[in-house]
Amino acid sequence: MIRPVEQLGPVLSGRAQAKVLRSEISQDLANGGHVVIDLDEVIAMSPSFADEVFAKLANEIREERIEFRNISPGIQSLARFVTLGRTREQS
Amino acid sequence: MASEPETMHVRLAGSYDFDRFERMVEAVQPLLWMQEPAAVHLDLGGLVFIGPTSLALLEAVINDLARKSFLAVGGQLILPRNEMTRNYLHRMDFFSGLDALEPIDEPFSRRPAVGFQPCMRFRTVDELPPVTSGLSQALVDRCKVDEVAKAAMWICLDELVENVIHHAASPVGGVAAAQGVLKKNRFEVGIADLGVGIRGSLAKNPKHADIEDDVQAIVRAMEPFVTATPRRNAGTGLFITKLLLKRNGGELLIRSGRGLVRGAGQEIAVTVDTHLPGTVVALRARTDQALDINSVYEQLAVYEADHDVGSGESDD
Repeated sequence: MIRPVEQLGPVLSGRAQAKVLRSEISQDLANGGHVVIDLDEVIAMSPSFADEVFAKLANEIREERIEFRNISPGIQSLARFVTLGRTREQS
Repeated sequence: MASEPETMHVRLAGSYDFDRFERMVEAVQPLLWMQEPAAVHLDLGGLVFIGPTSLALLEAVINDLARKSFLAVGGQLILPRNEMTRNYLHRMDFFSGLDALEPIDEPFSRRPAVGFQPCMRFRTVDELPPVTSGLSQALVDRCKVDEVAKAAMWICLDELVENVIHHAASPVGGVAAAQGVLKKNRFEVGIADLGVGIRGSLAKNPKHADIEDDVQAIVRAMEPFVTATPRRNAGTGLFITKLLLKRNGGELLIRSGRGLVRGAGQEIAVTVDTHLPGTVVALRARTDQALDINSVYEQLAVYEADHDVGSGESDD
């Protein structure tokens, strides 16, 4: 299980930091794992951070290879929003 | 035999606050368009107040002149006669960027920066975290807001300073400064760069080839999923910041090229005479009203339903 709050604190921001997390997730997925990300104690997330971990991993999330726990309604809504934007960009 | 460098006189007097930011754009015009080294005489004698947005722009302009080695020997700095103004500029770390100019007055003691965020320069992604945390911490220190408000400010500033790195192509990087005014329940942040401007940035994306002027470019950039680099960026930073400030009762000011857009919700968008290379983004938030980014996010579903959000972007 990955707990971003332990490495990055309660405010998840910065595309560069999100890329590091996405890389860690991708590594675990490549090893055949089911990745659980616990967002407990996360107060807020920036759109660019959400873009990296939700929108750019949308396929893996849809395939239920990535599971988010303790996700707040706000961050859930942001995740849907940024994923929508990227889906439309690719269509 | 080399000729003596010309002398360039720039005089700042009165107030350059959020509402009078355009005065600063006009004041720095001679410095923005210098083509060769000159002995700059910066007269701050009559200066009464300079807000963080004006300060960030002035600092960026001075930094750019120093970068180009355009600050010739013989430049002078006339310090503000008003002692409070002098101390404020010291707290904002303004004078450290003016090493090439010779202060005419005696030096004076520095006071600690509590509730202000002194001018911070940034050029790389690695330099961003201390900028955003420093700016948002100033909000807590000065305006006594809670962690939720701090997080909201942090998120918005993170997006805005990242825009400078990803889109501005500013040779001098960006400069950011912040100030909270407890008595007025206001917190202001200004971020300035001297890069390609919003129109120049969006021109990299063929989808925005129809943009005809700077105002149109700014207005477009405030819409969701608008970016020069859709493969890398989501294009939501300015949009989210605008929504937050609208709910808060605050204001967003964006100045780029000849475009000026101000407001949050019912924006005023005008073309002005004075050209500003690059972009200045300023936000002024109310500290007596909620600053809650998650409540803004929860409204996004409603926004999606009400608007035909985004229609695809071409890659750059």
